[in-house]
Amino acid sequence: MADEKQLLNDLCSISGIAGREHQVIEKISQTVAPWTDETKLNTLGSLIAIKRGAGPEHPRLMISTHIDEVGFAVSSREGHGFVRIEPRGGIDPKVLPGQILHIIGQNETTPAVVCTIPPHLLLQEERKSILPYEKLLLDTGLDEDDFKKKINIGDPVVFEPYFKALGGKKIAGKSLDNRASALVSIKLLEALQRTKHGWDICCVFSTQEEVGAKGAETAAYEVQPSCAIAIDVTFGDQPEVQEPKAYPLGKAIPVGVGPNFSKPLQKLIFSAADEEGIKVTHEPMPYPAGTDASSIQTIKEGIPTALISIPLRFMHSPLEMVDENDIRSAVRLLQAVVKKLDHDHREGFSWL
Amino acid sequence: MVIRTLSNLPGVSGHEEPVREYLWEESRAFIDNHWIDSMGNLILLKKGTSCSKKVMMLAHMDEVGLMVRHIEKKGTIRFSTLGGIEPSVLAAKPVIIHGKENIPGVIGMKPIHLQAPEEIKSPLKKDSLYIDTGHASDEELKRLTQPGDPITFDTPFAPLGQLWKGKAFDDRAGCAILLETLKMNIQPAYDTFFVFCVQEEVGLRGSRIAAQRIEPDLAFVFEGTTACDIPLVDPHRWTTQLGQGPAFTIAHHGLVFQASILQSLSTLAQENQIPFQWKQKIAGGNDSTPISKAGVGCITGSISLPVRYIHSPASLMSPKDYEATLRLSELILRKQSNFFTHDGRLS
Repeated sequence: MADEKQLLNDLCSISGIAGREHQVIEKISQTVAPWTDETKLNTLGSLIAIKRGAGPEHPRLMISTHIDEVGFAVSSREGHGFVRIEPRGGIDPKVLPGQILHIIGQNETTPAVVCTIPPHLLLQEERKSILPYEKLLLDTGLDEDDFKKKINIGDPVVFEPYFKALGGKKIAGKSLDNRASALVSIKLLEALQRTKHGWDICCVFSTQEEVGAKGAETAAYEVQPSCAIAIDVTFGDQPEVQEPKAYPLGKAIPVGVGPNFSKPLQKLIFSAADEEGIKVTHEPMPYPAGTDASSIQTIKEGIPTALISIPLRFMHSPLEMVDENDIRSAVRLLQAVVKKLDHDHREGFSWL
Repeated sequence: MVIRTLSNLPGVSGHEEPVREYLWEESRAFIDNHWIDSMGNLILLKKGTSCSKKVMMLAHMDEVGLMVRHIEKKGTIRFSTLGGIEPSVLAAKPVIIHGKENIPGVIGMKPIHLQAPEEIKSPLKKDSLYIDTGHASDEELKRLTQPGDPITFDTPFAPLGQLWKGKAFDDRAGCAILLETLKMNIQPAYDTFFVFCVQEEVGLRGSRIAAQRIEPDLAFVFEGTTACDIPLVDPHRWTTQLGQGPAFTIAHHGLVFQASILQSLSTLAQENQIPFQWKQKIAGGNDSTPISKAGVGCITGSISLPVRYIHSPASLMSPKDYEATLRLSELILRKQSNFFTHDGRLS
């Protein structure tokens, strides 16, 4: 796991807010190149990495993991080294006071602190309210000249990278939503070197999920898979959020069930897990939940779609947390699915 | 760099040992005598040409932080704050628990997606926050840590723009200034006690017994103080500004400073072209309160380095202010007689 952890650390440390993911895509593209037959960039910047199968029919399984992260962009330069930001993706402004953020400029990264008022000076009414985005300020500590040179409107802003192995096989860090899932896809491509498979496996590393799953939508149109599986994070259990709203870390891989998902594909995933002794659990979703699966299902004449999830704590905060075991189990689950597709659906996935 | 080392060392109130050990190792070659008292204050004597007066220069070693309160069955750590910290600055911050070993953890909170509409709009409450170390049960954790163990913010010192970023500038900035002053190896006019004291943040307790032991005639407190010079806040609430030099406190919650000491300090700074500012507003208090009341009482001055985002995980200070304060501190030591009249009374 040491190499995998290093790779995950590298993936999480790169900044890539929605629409500005090219550095993440570049890193993944380099990583998977030796294990794929073809990699190409989609118009909206998603990476399509194809590992061809050995079968005569080449039915395609698309595995989609978004690689953009929640973040911000510079919305105004206030002078004296201060900056205002607007969010790209749903971030609770309550996690921001006192955080270190990185402003990603053209040539260099500028760290900044989110301003707070010290307790000694805080007025009662200020203590009772939260600071909305309109009031939040970043302090770059830059003098006027440097500030004008380095900071521009629209510059992406991300949480300061943090990555640490904690107790109980947990990993804490920024943008584990959804780089942890991207690692699953990457590890699958690596594992497929060692097994023969009939289907073409198309791993899509998609862009702009946090602003409406746009990358996966256009990539699915291009790939036209026989069926598709999205991997994303779901709510992990934490003291104030327990089952059934959240899933324990390191215990079982949640598989989406509900109208967004193809019943036969769901069934195939559950039996594949069963046959290989991988623990899975139902994740009921009454409505499309904004993951890549929501977009993929209705592409063209429709694509049978499924979702598997990695439980993650503290979603959309600078310090998210996952369990190494879940990453490993998800890779095994996808290997089992590929095997079963070859075995049961040699000519393509039938939804009847 | 002294300030970098001191900022990175852990030392919440009552657990100042790592800071004290560093200061002792660095200063031992430059002093004439030393004491470590019952609460853990480090008192270092630099002998003067005359022992007819006693001067004290003090900074506190402790920083605000957290303390392990309870380890829950599922491994969640509940904490108390040590010193004044707003819950709003705690969410989603990395921390280090100093148990039998250093245990990294993160302060957790509910994802926005799962918050009720009224939760989204309300400020965080301290009791809703906790530390997640990844351990899934209390069994392993209880071998590594126990209630009472100190917790510090995991904020490495680093430059940020033209400023410095770090934790614990309140009051490692003061400690750094005094250590660097001491290491200049200046012989002062009068016996001078450099005091690195404990427990300022939990009620100004260490300085009190140090001052009662020494009973100084004249004392200077070196502090990291509030600077709120940000566009979020009206200028009249700024208290101090970064880059304008050390701030002299006129009054705080515990003391109105004597006009004579303010006059002597400002004259000394002016005569030597050292920039300085007046702390604009009453905000907080510091060790000068108990010191000024020690024995028959003592003339006390408070010299502060402006620090933005004080009492939060990451504060900012200006290297310019640091340099100016260090020059002033050196001058105070070299020109102690400026603070006394010819017949030895305090001017």
